[in-house]
Amino acid sequence: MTRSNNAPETPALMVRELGAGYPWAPRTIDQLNFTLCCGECVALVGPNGAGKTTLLKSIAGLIPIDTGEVLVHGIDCRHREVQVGFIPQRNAVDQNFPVTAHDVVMMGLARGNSWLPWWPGMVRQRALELLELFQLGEIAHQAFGELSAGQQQRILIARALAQESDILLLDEPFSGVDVAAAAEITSALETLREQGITMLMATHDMVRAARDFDRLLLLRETVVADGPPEEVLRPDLLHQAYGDSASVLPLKDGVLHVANPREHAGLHDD
Amino acid sequence: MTEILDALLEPLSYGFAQRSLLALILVGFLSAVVGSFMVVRGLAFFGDALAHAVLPGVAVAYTTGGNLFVGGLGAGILAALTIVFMTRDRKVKEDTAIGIVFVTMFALGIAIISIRPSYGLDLAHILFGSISGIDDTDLTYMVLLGGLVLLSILVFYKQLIIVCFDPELGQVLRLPVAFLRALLLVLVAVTIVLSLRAVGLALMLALLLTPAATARLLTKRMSHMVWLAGLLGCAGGVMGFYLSWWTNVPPGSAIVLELSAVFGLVYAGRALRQRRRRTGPGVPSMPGR
Repeated sequence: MTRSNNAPETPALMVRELGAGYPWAPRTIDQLNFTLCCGECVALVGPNGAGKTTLLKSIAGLIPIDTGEVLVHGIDCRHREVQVGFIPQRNAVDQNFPVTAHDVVMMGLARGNSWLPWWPGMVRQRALELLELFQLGEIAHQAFGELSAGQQQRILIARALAQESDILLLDEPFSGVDVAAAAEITSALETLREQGITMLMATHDMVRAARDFDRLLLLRETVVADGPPEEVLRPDLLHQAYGDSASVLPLKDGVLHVANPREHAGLHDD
Repeated sequence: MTEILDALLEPLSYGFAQRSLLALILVGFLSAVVGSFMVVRGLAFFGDALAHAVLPGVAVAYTTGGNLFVGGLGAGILAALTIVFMTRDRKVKEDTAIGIVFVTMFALGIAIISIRPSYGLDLAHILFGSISGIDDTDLTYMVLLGGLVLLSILVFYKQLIIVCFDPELGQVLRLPVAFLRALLLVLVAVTIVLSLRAVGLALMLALLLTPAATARLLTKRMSHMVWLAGLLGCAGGVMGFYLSWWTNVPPGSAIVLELSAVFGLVYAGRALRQRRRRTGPGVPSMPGR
């Protein structure tokens, strides 16, 4: 599915009664329903094991769908022609593999260009343009494994964008990165937003999700809540998703914080 | 100068030596190219296991007077596909499957070959190679099958790189990931069987891994690594041949020792360079220390 110029209200991604999980493990998600409109950016939150990554991977075709369906612009996501960009955590790819940043982005353009042993000039040029888009032009020919976490994550975003899909799935891009890297990734996500890309991003960072996204999906095996941050990050809903281990604390600047109740005392003291 | 040239040309006046040298250049290049994918994909254990798993096929060919290539190839491909089958749903981990298949097939090979009265001699040929015994038919097999392996790598090069670097991207791009994974293992199996006569089962792994590992230390790109490894493999074959000719050391040992020496030198050189870079000649010392 190549990038389309759909109107913002047109559904880009429809998930209906979805049930999925790894073939060798019990089903992780069940009876899952939601719709993403074109250009919409949604954060997927929930505890460990809630099924965030399973949901993203089943949409991307990495995990088989047991029940229900996922429609990408009205077409079943399992159809050969359907392309959805999936951005893994940077640690999921081999850090020691001998590839440059340019090589990694070109991989996203392999579809339709994969039967020649070399990359055509057009592909090389397009990959460079994408690297420039994320301010990575200067490091195009550096080894991927030698780059910073923020740079690596942005390269993986550029690679997903190279797939010419208008829907991107991001699996915890802020996981294990420092403040500087997080700022770089935020800037890359802003670029995607400007490009009109529909985004579904799994994250554990409630503060960032509430601040940067207009809509949250709270997950625990199925959708617990779906809506704007102030409607989703309610104590009762968080209790339903996280159990007794979390609650929501309104801080001075209005940002929400989800924490273990045992940590409350320390936070109030500040 | 003339003496050096004579020393280099002298072995080539013998037909068996010409065939040996040609075979070593061919398997040196082929093994290193295929080995590059093994090094980046972390398949060293698989390579070692497969080198031993071809034994029953080779043993059957030895005892029945059949073709060693065909026997070894059959056993190698059977082992590779059995491992792929056992690990298809991840209930059995890849290294566990490799271990089980490898030991079972090696034991089967020993059992078959022990039937023959010349058990010790036959086993020595299989384990340590017999490069001087290569005939025109063997060379033809090497050229044809080796060419097929290289052609497969050329055709599937980008797809293999993607699947080795990030298999999930391969799936997202709808590449035939399972086929590519099986293809790589089969190409390793074919390469091992083709190189069997040159260095034998016991030393096979060095031909696959050492030039590739050396090249990995010297380059940051896979395409450069593959070519450099191929050249190092060729050079290893040629130098090993002459070392063996002049010193009477078995060719397999000579090649492996030479390749390992080059790896050691490159590794040491790189470590030294990194150390120099870290300490830096112009870094001023802290005052008062």
